[in-house]
Amino acid sequence: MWYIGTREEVEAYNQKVNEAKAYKGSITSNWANPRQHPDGSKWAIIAHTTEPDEESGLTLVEELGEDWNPTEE
Amino acid sequence: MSYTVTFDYYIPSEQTITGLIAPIQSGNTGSTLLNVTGSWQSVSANIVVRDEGVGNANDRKMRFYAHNGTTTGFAADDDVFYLKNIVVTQTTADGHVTTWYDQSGFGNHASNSNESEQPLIVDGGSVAQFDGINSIEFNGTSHELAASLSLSTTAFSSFSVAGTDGAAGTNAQAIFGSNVTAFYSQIRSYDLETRISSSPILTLDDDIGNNPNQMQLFASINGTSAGNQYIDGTIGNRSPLDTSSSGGISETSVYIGSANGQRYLGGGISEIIIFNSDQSTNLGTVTTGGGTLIQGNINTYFDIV
Repeated sequence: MWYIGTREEVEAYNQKVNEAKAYKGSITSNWANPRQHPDGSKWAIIAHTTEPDEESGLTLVEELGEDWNPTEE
Repeated sequence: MSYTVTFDYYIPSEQTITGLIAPIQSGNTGSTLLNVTGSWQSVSANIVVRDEGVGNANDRKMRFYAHNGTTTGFAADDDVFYLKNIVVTQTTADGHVTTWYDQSGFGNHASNSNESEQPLIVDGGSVAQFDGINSIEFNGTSHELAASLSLSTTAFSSFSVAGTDGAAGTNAQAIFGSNVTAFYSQIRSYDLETRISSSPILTLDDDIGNNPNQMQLFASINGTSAGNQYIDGTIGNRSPLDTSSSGGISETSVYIGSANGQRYLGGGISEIIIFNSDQSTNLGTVTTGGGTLIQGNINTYFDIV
C-alpha cells in the first residue's frame, strides 16, 4: 500500500510515522524515503498501516503503477 | 495480532477454588473455564487479540481469575492455584534485516536505515523461505540493502543463491554495482543477465528456462579472456563471452535486491559471494545433493540441485 501526494504531504506523513515509531536502534532511523514520480508531478511513500489516513490529504493505492518505474538505460 | 499461549496449571482438590477463568479464546470475546483439579494440566491456545481501540481495553489483557464453580467474586482465604511454563509467542510479527553481515572478514556489510525498505528474515512469525530454502525475503517494491566497498578489477567472480517470483520478464536485480551499467546480476523468470564490464559494456545473457518460484545457484565469472555464467552448475547456453577487451569494473557500493531504487527483486536471496578475482579454477561442479569446490559447497549447504 502506498500514499500518493505532494512532496510536502508525503514528507509530513513520514515525519508522523517517525514520531510514532521513535526509533531507538543503532541502524534503523527512518520509516521511508519518499519516491518521486519520473515526470516530477507527484510523490509516493509506503503506507505504514492499511488504515486510511484521512487527515493527511494523501491518496491510498494498492500498488504503484508501471509509470512510477524509471525507464531502463 | 495473533499469539500462541501455552502454560501448565494446577488446582488442588478440596478447596473453595475449583477453576480458573483464562483468556484463551480467539478474539478474546470471552474466556474459558479450566476446572480440572488435583493434577497438572497443559493448555495450548491460539489467540487473536483485538486491535487498539476495538472492544473493551480489558480484552487486550491476559489475566487469570479464580473461580468457585459459580462466580469469580468470592472469598478464598488460604486457597491457592499454580501456573508454570507460561510461554507467549507472537505469531504475526515480521523480522526486518537491518544489516546483512559480510562473513568474509572484510566488513562489507549491507544495510538499510529505512524500516520500510528492509527485507524480511521473519515473515508473519515464520522464518522466511523461498522455494523451501531459508532466505532473505525481498518484496519486489521497496526492499534493498546497500554495502560500501571498493571493487576495482578487470577480473571478478560472483556467486549467488537467489530466486524470483516476479511476473515473466520482470527485471529483478540481485546484485547491482553503483556505477550504472557497470556491474550487476539480474534475474528474470527466463534468463540470467550479468553485466561484467562497463568499458566496453559486456553482458552475459543466458536462458535459464521459465523457473519462477525456484531458488537457483548462479555463478558468473569474468576472466582475463572469457566470461561465463553457470546456472545450477551448468554453463549458460550463450556463454562464453569474449572479455579480452574488457576494461573491468570500478565500484564504490553494491546494492542487493534492487538497482539502487529501481528493478526491485521480488523473491529470496540466500547467499552472495563476490571475489575480485577470476575463480574459474575453483568453480567446481554441482551434482545432486553435493558437488565440488565453490559451487559444490554451496549446493551441499542449500540443497538446490
